Amino acid sequence: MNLLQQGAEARLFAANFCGRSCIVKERFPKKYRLQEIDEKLTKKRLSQEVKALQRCRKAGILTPIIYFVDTTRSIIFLEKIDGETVRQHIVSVRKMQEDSSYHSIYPMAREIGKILAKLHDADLIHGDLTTSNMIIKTSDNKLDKKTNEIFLIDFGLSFSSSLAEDKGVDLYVLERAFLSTHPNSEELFSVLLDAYKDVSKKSSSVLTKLEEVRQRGRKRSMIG
Amino acid sequence: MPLTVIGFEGSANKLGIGIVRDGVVFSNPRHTYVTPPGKGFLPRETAKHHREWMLNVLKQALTDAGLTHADIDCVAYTKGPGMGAPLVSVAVAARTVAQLWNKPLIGVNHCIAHIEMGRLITSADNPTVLYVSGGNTQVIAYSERRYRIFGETIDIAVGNCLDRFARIIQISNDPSPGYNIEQLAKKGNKFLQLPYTVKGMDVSFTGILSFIEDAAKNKTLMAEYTPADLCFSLQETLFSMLVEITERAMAHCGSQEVMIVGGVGCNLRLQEMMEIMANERGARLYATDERFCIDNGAMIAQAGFEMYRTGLKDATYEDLLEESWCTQRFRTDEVEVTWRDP
Amino acid sequence: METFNLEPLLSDTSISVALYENVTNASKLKTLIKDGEIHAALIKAEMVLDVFQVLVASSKAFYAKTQNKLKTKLIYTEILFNLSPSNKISECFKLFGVEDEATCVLVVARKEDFSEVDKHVEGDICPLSKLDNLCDKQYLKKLYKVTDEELKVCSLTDCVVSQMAAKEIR
Repeated sequence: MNLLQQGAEARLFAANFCGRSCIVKERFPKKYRLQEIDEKLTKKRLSQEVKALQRCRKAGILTPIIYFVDTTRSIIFLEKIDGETVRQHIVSVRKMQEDSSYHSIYPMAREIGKILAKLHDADLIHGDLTTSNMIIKTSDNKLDKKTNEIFLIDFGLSFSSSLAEDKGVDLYVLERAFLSTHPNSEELFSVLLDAYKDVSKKSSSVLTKLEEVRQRGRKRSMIG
Repeated sequence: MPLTVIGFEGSANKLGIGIVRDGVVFSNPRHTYVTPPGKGFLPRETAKHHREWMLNVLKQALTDAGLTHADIDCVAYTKGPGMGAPLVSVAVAARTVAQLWNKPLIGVNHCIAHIEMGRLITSADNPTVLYVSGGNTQVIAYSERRYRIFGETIDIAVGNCLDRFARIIQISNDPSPGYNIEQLAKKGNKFLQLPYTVKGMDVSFTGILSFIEDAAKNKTLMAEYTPADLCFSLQETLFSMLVEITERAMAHCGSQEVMIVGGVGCNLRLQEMMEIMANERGARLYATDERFCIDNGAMIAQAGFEMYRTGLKDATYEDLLEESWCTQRFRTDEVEVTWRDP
Repeated sequence: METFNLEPLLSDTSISVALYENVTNASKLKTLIKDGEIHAALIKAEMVLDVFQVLVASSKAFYAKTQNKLKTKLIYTEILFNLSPSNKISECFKLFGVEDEATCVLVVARKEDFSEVDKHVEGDICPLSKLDNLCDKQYLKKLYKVTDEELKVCSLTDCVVSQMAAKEIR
């Protein structure tokens, strides 16, 4: 098995599972934290991830297929999605074009907005939304047209909740990750939110909460 | 031509004045307003403390450096963020000496000063920064001329959480509540499970604080756990969360350097945990000690130096004076970083 | 018949999977297995969408054996158990095990045990690709409670496999 990367949660290896290429995700013990903290988190996150992958699929959201789970060693085998992260995609698209605008990525932002609306309408909170946790898979369909499919990954921090507050924070986390990772992408993010609004049945209370969380951030006193 | 900058800091309960010449710290005296156990510092009293100690600390800064005001090229002060009254008291002093000595005056973002001082002392090149203090908890990385905030607290700062807990169990504020929690935590060994609230690269501390507040007041629970056990459990939980979001930001940014700055950054247990994390991913930790982690004047001088030699080099004395205001809210990513490669 | 290696979990284990039609001695085969004469799992071919489904169940079973964590008596009964969404062992056997009169049988055995099993089967071996025609997709869809929404983003096999893999986690 080849080590692909070491994320904050787990090590990812590339492997072959009974003829299919797969990603082995191993949540190894984090020695920096107490065993009491680490074991509890690791167990919980593995189970949250597996549950969320199942529920997403049931809600019609593209996620990797689960091939194998070992709770003792905290290992999950997942379908390998061929593609690049949305983050890599945005960076490379901007490099290729002459101006540094995000216009050509608007359709993708709309697609992400729709997916998140579906996710939240199913009362699922991702918990760690960033452009690194979305994979864009480009495939040629029969009509010789390229189609983009966006997969959500890394559900270790996910949980189920119907509260607008939790959904608002989920979007806030993404907004912050978006704006810090992709400078001057405010407009791109608002395109995403517009699509979210169009699709989600409960968007108004969520977006109100999002605004509240934003204000909390801005108004926080920062002493010392 | 060497550039000598004097920096004035007083955004919270420390008054610090430091002199830096081209990356060398000539002096860095500081005086801290210490409140009795169970009490936090309030703006009015803190500002009064700063005003009372201003001249002493200023004199000491010049004497320690072996310089006179004639040797100073530029005056820097904290523009924000921080507590209003203390900020103003220090800004007024800085503005006064700038006009007395006829030197250009530069307002500095406090958070950026921490980062620049950390980079100067540790020689870290492009680290992911964990900035942790009484008022701030941010994970920061540089890109395209800004220090961008990848993660932060969505409610209170980690130092605030520690300080408030210290007040509940009546720990001394001398030299600082955080330091005393750190010492007491070393004697704790029984771990109490606390809430653990990480949201991607963001964290939340209010739930933990109210949980441990209740625990400290619960007599049956306190028959089982000592205050030292609570300090231990609190530190372990808070710091695990901080290291986790830092690691998440490093993974997201592909960074191999990590630096801790801010008052909570001198906690050795936090440094130790961060180092283990860094080693596990083949990265390097850069940390500083209490001289530079805790608010000080030299850091303001250092950031002022960077600003003065780059973005503000053509600004006139009058323009700079005109711009010399201060603000309680001043986000790290508002400042254009003119002194680093884009 | 095809042979598969159970990498990466058990790269030293290979299994043979074979599909038989027109089988006349299913009941005898079951007895042979019960008596420990032959070592194999006999699976109702109608219940298998794709050989991958069997590979996932087998990997899980052989791996559980190495960890001493079998929930049933044997690796081969464990395969049947793993194929089912239910945690009730007897129900799993009823759903996925072959009946005495069965004519379509999918055999899973260790590579080294397969020829011995094959000797006893009275029936016609046919390619595994035939599973696609034999399997009862509607029934499996119902059994695994697969929704139409789900099928927009995932094949039926993959839905089933994901659920099998995550069976322990509720």
